[in-house]
Amino acid sequence: MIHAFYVLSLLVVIFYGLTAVQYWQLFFNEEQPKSKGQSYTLIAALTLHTCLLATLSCLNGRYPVGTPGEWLLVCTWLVATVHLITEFLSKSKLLGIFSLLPTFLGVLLAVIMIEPVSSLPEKYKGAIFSMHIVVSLAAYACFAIASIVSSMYILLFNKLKQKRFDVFFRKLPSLDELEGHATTWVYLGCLFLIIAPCIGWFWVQQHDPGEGMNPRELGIFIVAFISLTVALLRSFFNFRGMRFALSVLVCFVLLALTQLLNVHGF
Amino acid sequence: MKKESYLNSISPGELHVVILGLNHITAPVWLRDKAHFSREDIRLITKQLLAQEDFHEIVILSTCNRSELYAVTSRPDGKESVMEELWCNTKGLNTEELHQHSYYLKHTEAINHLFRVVSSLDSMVVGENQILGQVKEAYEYAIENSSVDYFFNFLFQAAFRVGKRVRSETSLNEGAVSISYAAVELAKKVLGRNLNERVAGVVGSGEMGELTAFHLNKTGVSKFIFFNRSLNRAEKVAARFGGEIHTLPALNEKLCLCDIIVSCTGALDPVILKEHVEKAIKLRNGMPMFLIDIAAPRDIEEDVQHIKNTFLFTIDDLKEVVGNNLLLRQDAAKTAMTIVEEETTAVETWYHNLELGETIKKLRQKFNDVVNKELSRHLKNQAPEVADTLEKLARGLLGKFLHTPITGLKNLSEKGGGRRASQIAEQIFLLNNDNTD
Repeated sequence: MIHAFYVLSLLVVIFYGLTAVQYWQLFFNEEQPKSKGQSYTLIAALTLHTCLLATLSCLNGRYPVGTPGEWLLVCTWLVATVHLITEFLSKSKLLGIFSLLPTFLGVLLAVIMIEPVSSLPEKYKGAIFSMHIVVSLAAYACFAIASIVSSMYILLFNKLKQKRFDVFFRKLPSLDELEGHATTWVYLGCLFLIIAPCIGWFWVQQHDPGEGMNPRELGIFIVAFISLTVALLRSFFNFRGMRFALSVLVCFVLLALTQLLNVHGF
Repeated sequence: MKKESYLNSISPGELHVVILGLNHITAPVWLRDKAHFSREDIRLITKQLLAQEDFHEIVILSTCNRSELYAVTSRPDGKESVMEELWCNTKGLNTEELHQHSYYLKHTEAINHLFRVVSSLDSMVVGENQILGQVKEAYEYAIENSSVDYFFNFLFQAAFRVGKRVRSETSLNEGAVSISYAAVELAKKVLGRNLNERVAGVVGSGEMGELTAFHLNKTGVSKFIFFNRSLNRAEKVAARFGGEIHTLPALNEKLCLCDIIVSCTGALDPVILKEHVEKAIKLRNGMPMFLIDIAAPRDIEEDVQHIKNTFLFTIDDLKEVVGNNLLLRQDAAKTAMTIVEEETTAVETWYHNLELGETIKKLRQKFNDVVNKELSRHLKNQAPEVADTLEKLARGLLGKFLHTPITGLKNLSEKGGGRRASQIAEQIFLLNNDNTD
């Protein structure tokens, strides 16, 4: 089993590397013929990624969400899956490079960080705790994608302002579409961000009854509230353009900062 | 209109695709206009060509930039003059002039040409999308006239596949290549693909403004506000696209209603000032505004581009976009050409396999005749059981003997040597010789 883990780790890194190269070529190489090859490589990488997570579960007898390396592995899996779904729905692969290059780097880092066998206290092995982690990671993945899309918005906005009609101008979707995508991901991220601490609170009540909300949960609730306000302002009060894109980036940074608050030994 | 089942009497190997045509490269505008076929002309010429002995299938394509007669004929040489004569008689053209400005293509060249046409590699604006629809229309009209059969059905379906492949696998049809359309493309880049709910303000109702309004209208914009010095001209343009009309002084007040502004007046001083746009953006609560200045001298103050959420482009910017897109299309054309070559080879292989099928049929026929002749000679005085056994033996042996050469021919054909396989078989087995002794 441990050999399978190492082989899969290597294959996952190789396949994500290949995927990143293919999507890079698709975006930057004008003569690159359009084909389904990129999607197939991504599907292969995702399949191997899923197998790696399953192997990790079998090795440790628990869900693979117990250590930072494992979180990163699950988070990158979510980002890649979300990208694949978006690709099929929007029928456009052009944004792939912006989500799959970070995915490749994340997977590489995760594989370096992960220890194939790591023991955890019994209370962290349950389904509720794992669900809490997975929903949290889904929220981070949504915010990561929203911030990637917002960065694209800022990039295209500047290209248009500077009248530079290069590859980014030609290949990125319109400002309006980018803003729309970012809003969707912020709403989805907020939803997960509200659900995750609730599940966490429920789990805490089972193991440490009476314990109140910890600083990280409080921080996450505050970020969720700010993000939701930003998204609602955009939807109903014309809070659009650069200020919206920048706000999304700030929310993502704030969310990342909440992770610095140490809770339950994590 | 079609001659009945011509494929029963002619082997596919004898059939050739030919094209007689003229286009924007070979013929001047006046000749293209004169040579253009109406639907009635097409019907008439198709009927007259099919009445001739060697014409089996006809498709006629006629657009602003090209008129072409596609035919399947069993004798391609010399057919040029027949087609030319018919064309000249129908359209009142001078034969010499038509001959000088037209082209006559045969088989592989003709197939390749059709594929280049549907891919819009042969169009005036390389990558335009209209041509595929026009070829489809010509083919459908030919079906209506019953002037297409097995050969053209296959060839035109292959052509449509090539057209689709080129459009989906290359970026040949991407990016605007005209100034007015580039303006619309830029607007889409800022405001999104769906411009239906957007309001476009057109300042100055000259030719360029009208053209941009036309492209915006085609993209879905239906709310227009026209501003012009005189209302007469604006009224005419507004009648075409619908929308409000105002004189130039109303511009300052109505600017905030417009998501898109296209300005092309002949004014010597700017008509849209920075303060106007600043005020409008404030009233729009930060909603982006897209401005195109296609006037010379400029209609919109240059400083407008520094206002937040405002995107200002001039005619020079649009020229740059068009120039870049044309360069990109040249690159994409190389990839498209590879697809065209690939598909031409595929059709050639199909054609040669058709020929091979015919050769195998002849081969079987020839040896069957030999067997029949020998059997009738030797079974005359045999008992029925013996005769039956001998006949089975003879036919069994024939099957076994022919199996190896036929497999060999098929293998050679699969490797792209269909025509060569047919020629070899014809030479070895004397297939074009009726003697079975």
